[in-house]
Amino acid sequence: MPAALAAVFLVVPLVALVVDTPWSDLWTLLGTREVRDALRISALTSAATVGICVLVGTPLAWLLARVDFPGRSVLRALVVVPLVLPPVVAGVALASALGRNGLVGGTLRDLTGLTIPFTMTAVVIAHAFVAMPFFVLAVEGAFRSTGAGYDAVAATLGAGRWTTFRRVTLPLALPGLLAGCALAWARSLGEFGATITFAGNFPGTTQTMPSLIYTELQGDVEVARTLSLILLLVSVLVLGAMRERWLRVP
Amino acid sequence: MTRHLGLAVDLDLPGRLTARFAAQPGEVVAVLGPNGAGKSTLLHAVAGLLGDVGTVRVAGETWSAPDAPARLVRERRVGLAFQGHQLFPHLSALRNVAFGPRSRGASARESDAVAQDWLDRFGVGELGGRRPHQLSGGQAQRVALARALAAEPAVLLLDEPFSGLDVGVATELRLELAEHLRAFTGVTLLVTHDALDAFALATRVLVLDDGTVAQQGAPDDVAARPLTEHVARLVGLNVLRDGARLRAFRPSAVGISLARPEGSARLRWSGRVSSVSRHGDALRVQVATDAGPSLIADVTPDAAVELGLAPDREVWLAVKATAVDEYGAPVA
Repeated sequence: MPAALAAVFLVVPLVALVVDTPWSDLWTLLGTREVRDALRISALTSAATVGICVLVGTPLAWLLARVDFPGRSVLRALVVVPLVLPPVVAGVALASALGRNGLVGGTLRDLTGLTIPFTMTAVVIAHAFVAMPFFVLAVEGAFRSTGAGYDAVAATLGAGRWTTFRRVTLPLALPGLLAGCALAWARSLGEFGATITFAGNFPGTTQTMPSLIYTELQGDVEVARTLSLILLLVSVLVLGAMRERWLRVP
Repeated sequence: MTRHLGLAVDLDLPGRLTARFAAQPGEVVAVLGPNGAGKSTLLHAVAGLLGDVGTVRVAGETWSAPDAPARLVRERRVGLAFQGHQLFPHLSALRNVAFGPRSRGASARESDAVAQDWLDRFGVGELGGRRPHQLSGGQAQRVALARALAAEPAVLLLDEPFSGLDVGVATELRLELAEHLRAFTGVTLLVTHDALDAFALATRVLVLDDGTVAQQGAPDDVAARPLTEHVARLVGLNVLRDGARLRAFRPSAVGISLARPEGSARLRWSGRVSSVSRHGDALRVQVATDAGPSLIADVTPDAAVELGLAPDREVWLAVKATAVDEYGAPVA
């Protein structure tokens, strides 16, 4: 019984959304400038977020999985903090660090005249901040499960660290890396709290799909529903692409 | 010893392994011992996987010394083939073997040529395009051995290379490997649980027990006069320890009777049969003696029926003095 309850609880809201949405408006809405902008920004920022995660998150995951250094467990704990941090708090924290008068942001403005908040860069930074832990944990797990044994064999065959990483560690962890990318991407696509706090909600520059849905919810609920449906469809499509990995019953 | 063209190790890993021995180029050293004796630790230490371990000198080079930083694994010339082959699952057999030459700077074409040559030598030349999961156990282990040798190692480290293989496949591979090892100019360390490996392949036997070297010598000597119970069981000998003196005798020299036999009390034991199993044409009877040690005796099936040998049967064992080889253990 409790299991059925949980399943119903998870499914009903989605069914309601699908049933309640005026499907006929879908195409007209997709044609409006606001929605197209929001979709474009969401697509761009989520792609950039995944890119950043791969570039800097992969080395961090490798470090945590393979190198035994003092403070490793502390570092891992710190990496996981954004995972449990309320997104709004993350946004406030980012503003304190990178805002106009922030710890880093103030210096940056003094030196270069650049400011970060309320730009598309800020959106990406906010997304990367909340998505990185998911990515790092997934990839670290992949590095761990592929084992240091193969790395050792590669070393005995004369391979240096970089060669070993490129030719052995990375190819073996590739499925985990892809899963990490999907997680980071989904987290970025749905991110709202940190984004709106740190980057604002300006149409055309920082208004992502979730921000647009929030805005429409204040006015036209129907439009908000239709937009939500679009995001749901995108998520289902990605889940479909990933089903080989996650929906397979062991 | 300042310069050694073969292998010279003096390992000191407190609590795990203390071992000192040397081997000449071309020698195959079988490493025997019970689980946890330090066999794998020895191989890992020579490979450099354990960091600072004491002294390891190979072919005139110092790989590890107490007063110097250990040479990196990739700069040691070791070839590894462990149980469970450890082939890279995402690379073809050919690319697995080519990995060593390629890592040491050979071009892709050269490496592939070297790899193909080694696969041919192990009789798996036509399987180069297959991934490890498409190979049988014996084929995969051949590829693993080819990969280890293709890197032109100075020391070849084999850790139970035949375990997990069918008996027939293992026997075949053992014969092949013997041939390759004869052509190999470096030192081979072969960890094994199998007496056949040790005595068919090795030129020297190193027996580890509880993290120390318990015995080393020529295979025949170690087989005839084992100093540890592990090796005694491995070669199927009865060995009794009496202080620093040991007495060894073959199971076939032991007589079984129901009544107390004549002769010296030192050469007869009462006890209970603990197991009876087939051993060639004879039956091997294991007896837990009242004095403590477990002894084995070979009897004919007829005799076993006549004596009613079954587990828990009370029996007497006796051996003739002339069948007992008495020798001393070197003072530790």
